[in-house]
Amino acid sequence: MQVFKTYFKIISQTRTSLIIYYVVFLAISVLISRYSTQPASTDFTESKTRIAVINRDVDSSVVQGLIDFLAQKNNIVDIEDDAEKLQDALFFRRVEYIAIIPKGFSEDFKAGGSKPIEKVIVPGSTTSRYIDMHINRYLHTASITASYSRLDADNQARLVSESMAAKAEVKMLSKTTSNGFIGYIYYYNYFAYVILAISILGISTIMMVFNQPDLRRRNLCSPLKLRSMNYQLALGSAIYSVACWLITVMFGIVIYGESLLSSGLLPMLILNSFVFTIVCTSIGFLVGVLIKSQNVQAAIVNVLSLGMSFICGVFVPQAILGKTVLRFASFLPAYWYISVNNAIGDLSYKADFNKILIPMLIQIGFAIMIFSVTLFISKQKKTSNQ
Amino acid sequence: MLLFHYINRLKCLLRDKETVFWTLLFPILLATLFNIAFGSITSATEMFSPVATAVIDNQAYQDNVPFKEALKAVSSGEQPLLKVSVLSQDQAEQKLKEGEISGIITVSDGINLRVINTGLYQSLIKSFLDEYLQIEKTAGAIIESNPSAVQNGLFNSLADRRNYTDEISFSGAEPDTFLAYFYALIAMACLYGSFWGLRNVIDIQANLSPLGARRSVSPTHKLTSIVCDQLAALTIHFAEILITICYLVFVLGVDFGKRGGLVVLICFVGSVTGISLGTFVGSAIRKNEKVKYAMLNGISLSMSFLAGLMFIEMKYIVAQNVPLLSYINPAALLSDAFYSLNIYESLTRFYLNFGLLCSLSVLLSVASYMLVRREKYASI
Amino acid sequence: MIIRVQNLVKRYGDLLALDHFGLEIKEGEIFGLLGPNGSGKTTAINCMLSLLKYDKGTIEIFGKPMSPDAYDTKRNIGVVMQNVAVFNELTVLENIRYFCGLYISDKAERSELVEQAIDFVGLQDFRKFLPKKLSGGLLRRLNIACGIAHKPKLIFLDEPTVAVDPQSRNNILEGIQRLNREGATIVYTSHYMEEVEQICSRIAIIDKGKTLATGTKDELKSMIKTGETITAEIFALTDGDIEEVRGLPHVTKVTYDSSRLRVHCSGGKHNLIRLLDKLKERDISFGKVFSEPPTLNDVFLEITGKELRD
Repeated sequence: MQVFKTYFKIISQTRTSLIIYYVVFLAISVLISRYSTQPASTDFTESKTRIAVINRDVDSSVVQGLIDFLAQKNNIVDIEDDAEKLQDALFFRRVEYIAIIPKGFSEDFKAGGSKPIEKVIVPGSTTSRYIDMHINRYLHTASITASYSRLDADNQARLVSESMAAKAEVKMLSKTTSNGFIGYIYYYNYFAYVILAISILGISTIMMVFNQPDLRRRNLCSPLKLRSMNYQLALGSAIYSVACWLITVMFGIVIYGESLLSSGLLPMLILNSFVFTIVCTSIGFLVGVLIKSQNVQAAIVNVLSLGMSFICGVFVPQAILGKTVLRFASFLPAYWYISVNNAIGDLSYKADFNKILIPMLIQIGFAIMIFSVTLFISKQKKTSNQ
Repeated sequence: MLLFHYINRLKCLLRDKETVFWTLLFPILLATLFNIAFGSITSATEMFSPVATAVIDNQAYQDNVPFKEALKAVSSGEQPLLKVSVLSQDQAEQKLKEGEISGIITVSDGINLRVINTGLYQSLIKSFLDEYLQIEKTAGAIIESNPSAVQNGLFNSLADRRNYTDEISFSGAEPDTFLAYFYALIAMACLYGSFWGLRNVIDIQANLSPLGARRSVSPTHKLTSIVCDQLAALTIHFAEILITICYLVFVLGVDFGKRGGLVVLICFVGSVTGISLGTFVGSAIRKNEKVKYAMLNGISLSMSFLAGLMFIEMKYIVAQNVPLLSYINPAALLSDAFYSLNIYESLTRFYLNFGLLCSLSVLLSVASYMLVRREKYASI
Repeated sequence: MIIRVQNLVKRYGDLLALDHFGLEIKEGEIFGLLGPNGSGKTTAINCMLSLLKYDKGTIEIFGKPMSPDAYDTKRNIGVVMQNVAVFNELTVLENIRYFCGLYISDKAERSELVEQAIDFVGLQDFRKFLPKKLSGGLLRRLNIACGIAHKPKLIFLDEPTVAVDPQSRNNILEGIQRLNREGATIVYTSHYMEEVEQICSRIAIIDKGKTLATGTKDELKSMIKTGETITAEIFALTDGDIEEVRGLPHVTKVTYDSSRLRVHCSGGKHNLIRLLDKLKERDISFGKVFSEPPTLNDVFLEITGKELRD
């Protein structure tokens, strides 16, 4: 077990680099899972959007009613009516929607005119549609009330705001009502990126030491079987990855504590992430056998970890990725890891263990395949042409 | 003389084909993957399919003609919102569990919705129900105060939807959200120029490499060597960034706006910043080469992360909570510069970012030079 | 035969690095591969160790064909590469222990061998040093220790004395002879003929990937015409004088350059006397005069037509 022991001596010699990587990735995963909640449009607890309302008109009852209504549904941020400032507010997302009530709007509205509320939105924002809906609904109701009811202005305003409050009752049929589960499922999704990057970076950093041409030759001249050497290296790599996995899992428990522990999903999340860690070890091992320089290492790590994360649904949920992409992604192990996580998240209302078990087996298949390819390449490289 | 040094260095860096190849290929590969992922999202939302919904078949539902009408209205037409099936309680619950339908609408005293999880589809059903209830309530109140309203076309008016909002913008362009990811990617590619900068430091410092030692004893002024080395690295890196931009614009069709000259300018400054960052880390961190590479890799990744590479909201979270950070993070400055070039008429923000990047590069370069200039070392 | 190489051909693209290269090495020898830079010495060794693919030929070590999987054979081989191949991350002791551990699994035996190796190369005071803290000579010694710690029966040493100070060099050369006395067969490459002459029992001269001649140094020297080279310091010499010298019996070649007259003679007696007589006869005053037996350089020069050292 000489190689194996030496593996850890080298880890301890390169610990500064490994710690830097680990800290960076852990910070990324903690920050990202802390701040990313599901997009507002897909949630029932209609999350409040930050909007600005600029009133360039008089304080008529319709304008006031509209502003009050918007204030109920959203967080109104006060911003000065100054183009530059408004632009900056949008740019840095202090607000996502700016509604500008133009001068003469109330007059025009009363007369049944068609002067619109001007809006400036963050390009492509999905939340803006909800705010459009709110404004349209309010003004539509107000205009119909004004033209058909025989109520005075105050009563009209009251009627409008009362009817705006009408809501359908929603019942959740799920066993757990906790909404917090999303957080740790997300954490475990981002885990895919973290463990992928940290495994490839760490393992390849160490493997590059063993693969220095002269050292490698000296090792090859020894009676130690290549297979045995590779197994020892792989074992060392696996222990390193598993250590990273363990710390990440611990961190998850620290951050999500009670809600994660009480969900009953933890064992399955842990199992799945462990399986994926093994896959990552094999990928790291493969990269380690192939690369020679550190610049190349950085490039390959980024392509593999970020690329795979994007198309397999780590950063962008699988639910909104197109079918073709997902079909393509299914040739990558991270896709299966994420789909297991999603299935685990769905367990509270839909127990489908095949959706958990089979993808896990597929991941193990990936690990075996990648590891075999690595052994094959390593054997090919044993005698070189140069 | 300068040209001699420059050409030599250029040759030297270019001969490292593996590095040149990968530093060029990685943003291109990633951009392609981004494009595949995001491209599918836009088309998925455009091809929106109606939401499968069940209504419980009971007396209350059969009696509620207006609701039936409303359901019919939203589940027909060119772009129906819902696909409604009328089912018994058991059937509906079965289908809900199997995931074939997204929600069950029950009409009794009021109207309620049952779901098993939350999502876009469920929200759509709910907002349809909310609106229906709200109109019902409005109509009820109006009729109470003015029964003749019905004859005067109240229901037609209710059904007559109008748009009360009109989008104006501060500029003509209207880019989609995903652009920001591409901008962050280019920012990251710029920062990875730091590896060239680091290589330059290692090759020029007597205490870092034998090559550096040999060059240190030559009569060439250190500043000359440094400037030529950096220019050579910059040439390669800038060329790589330009190729990446060209690939993004002409192959993937990513929108960089119409001010091409300024895009090139900001790419140039970004390349300079990247290289000087590497030079600075290379000369300031007194650790071995592996640690320096790890530092640069870590710095580039975390800066890009904070600029929104992995999760675009991160950029705004930083801007709101730690505004200072977005003014010193070169990745954020770069992606902001691209963004503002594309969507804003006014160039104020662009020049602000541009200026900050220039100052940052100068600061890093001067600091590195101060560190590198020392001609004697404690140990080689 | 411990090593038998026949008809080995290795190409790097257009370059024929080994051209029907052949070699036979017996047990107990210190066998020298002598050749100028780029003559194919290292390539030949790397092929023998199955580190390089070759186009043609057979290689047998300990009577068995050598292959990447010939682990039993490898167990008895020690290799000291031309470039220092050690872990920069491990200390001197850890490096030797690691490499020794690749061969020897018994812990007690290993510790014993590691200590012996450290004593052997004289690195006792540097056990805990990382390689980058060692001087060039010490680093070379570490490189050797890593290759021989397991007491192999066959040791390849590929230019172990390149870039080594004279003191370390003598230390290394003595060490090699000691290993040989203890029973190891040694394959030694160098382009320093003095070294090869000093320690090798048999020598192969290699150029352009071919074995040009093999034998003990005396055998090699007897292959060539030159039996003796006489050098005389003479400050003034006319072309006529040189012609006269050239006309003497047994003289094969005469050169005159920077006040040195070099006369190459084939075997035979009284060459020196005859030359001195001739000089006296023509009244030529001379300084130092000496006669040398032929060197390997002369052998190389005569076989290839060029100097070993360029």
